[in-house]
Amino acid sequence: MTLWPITSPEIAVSLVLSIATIGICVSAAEELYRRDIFGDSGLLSWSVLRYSGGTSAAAWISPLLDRMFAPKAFHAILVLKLFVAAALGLSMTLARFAPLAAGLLSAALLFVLLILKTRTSYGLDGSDHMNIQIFVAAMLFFMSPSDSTARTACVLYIGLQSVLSYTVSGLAKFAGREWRTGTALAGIFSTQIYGRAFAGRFFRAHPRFSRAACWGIIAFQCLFVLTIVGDDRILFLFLAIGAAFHIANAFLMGLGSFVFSFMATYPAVIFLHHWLRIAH
Amino acid sequence: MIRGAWDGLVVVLFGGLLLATVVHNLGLKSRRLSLLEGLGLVPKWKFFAPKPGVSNYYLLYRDRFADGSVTPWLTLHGMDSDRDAIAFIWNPNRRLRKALHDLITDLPYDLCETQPAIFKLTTAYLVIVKHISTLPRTAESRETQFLIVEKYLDQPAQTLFRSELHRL
Repeated sequence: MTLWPITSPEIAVSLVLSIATIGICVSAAEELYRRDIFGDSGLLSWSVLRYSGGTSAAAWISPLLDRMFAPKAFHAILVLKLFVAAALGLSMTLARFAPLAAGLLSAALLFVLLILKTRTSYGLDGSDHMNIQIFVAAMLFFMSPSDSTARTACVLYIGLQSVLSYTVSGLAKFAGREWRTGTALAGIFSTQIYGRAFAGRFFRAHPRFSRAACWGIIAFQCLFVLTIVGDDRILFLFLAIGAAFHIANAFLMGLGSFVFSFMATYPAVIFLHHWLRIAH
Repeated sequence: MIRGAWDGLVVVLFGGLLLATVVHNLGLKSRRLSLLEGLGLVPKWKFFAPKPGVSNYYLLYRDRFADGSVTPWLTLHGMDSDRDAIAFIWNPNRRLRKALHDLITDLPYDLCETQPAIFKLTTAYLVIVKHISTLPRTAESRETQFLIVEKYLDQPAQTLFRSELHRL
């Protein structure tokens, strides 16, 4: 018996996509608002990025990329991102979707996310990477027959990537001297890109609290794996801490996009937890 | 039969991607991993770790006029300003500021003394020069130059790199 009835891959994936698409809509609206960044004189102009090593393409695909990344075409892609995410999110929330349509919308959204990554990695963050994982799984989910092992595998993949992301991040922090000594948060919050002046001052003025917070984050992230092996209370405790963690990061660090992309994976983590219990 | 094969294919694919993610995050490198990473299929999950970024980086630029006089250094895109209060939900400058940060930290500073020609051909350098060259400016400007500064808390700012003058 679970506290939350996410016992089928279909329910899990519709919740995952309902949450993830909100974040993608906000992100697309932000990109359209600052579409000058991708223009000919913008910081991420394709006229230079096309020569970069990471995206240098074969001769046959180069003209295609040039057309796709020209300012007007790229703006159209961003509009497509906004509308496809909105359509998919609405259909999931209202639970009115045909697998074929949902699969096509997921594939279109995955295409746009990969296009952004292909254009350049500059400016992308972890929320973009988590969204790619989600939509790879979503596309294959809707391509797979109902009640198939493949569908279950798609949801398990999202859940396992989520658990992996917290665990890897926690272990990497444990390996860092600044995290262990407790100076990391004071330092991060003192920057203008990821900080808030008052938070930086607070953590510098309270080193014991700062150290406790650093170790709290390390412990939470390293132990996130307990969501799949612990009981229901552990599962919901960690998901509640995770939600609070991401909301705090949105306010303090400006990482609002992480709230949606990472919390979107939580229904898949709940399903993974449930599936492991059934399996045993 | 077909359904079983499809199930197997999907399971193997996701198993492979999960394994690749673990290997990638352990720091092991290979051409296949780089390809998967480039496509966005294998993520790196080490957020702000093991060494978190605790410095402010600023990109400044100035122009030189035909008579040899120069403008004051200007900070690009308000990098020295704090985020808006509503940035937790509406942060349209997110990509711009992250991209500037990525470009600055991506520059191979150790090459600027030893192999300046290669340094100036890096994507990050070219992106910065191209962008600064296309900013709106007066018609009298003849050349432009950029400066990258690192500042940690209340300590004095340190110059990481000062470019040559680039003709406009």
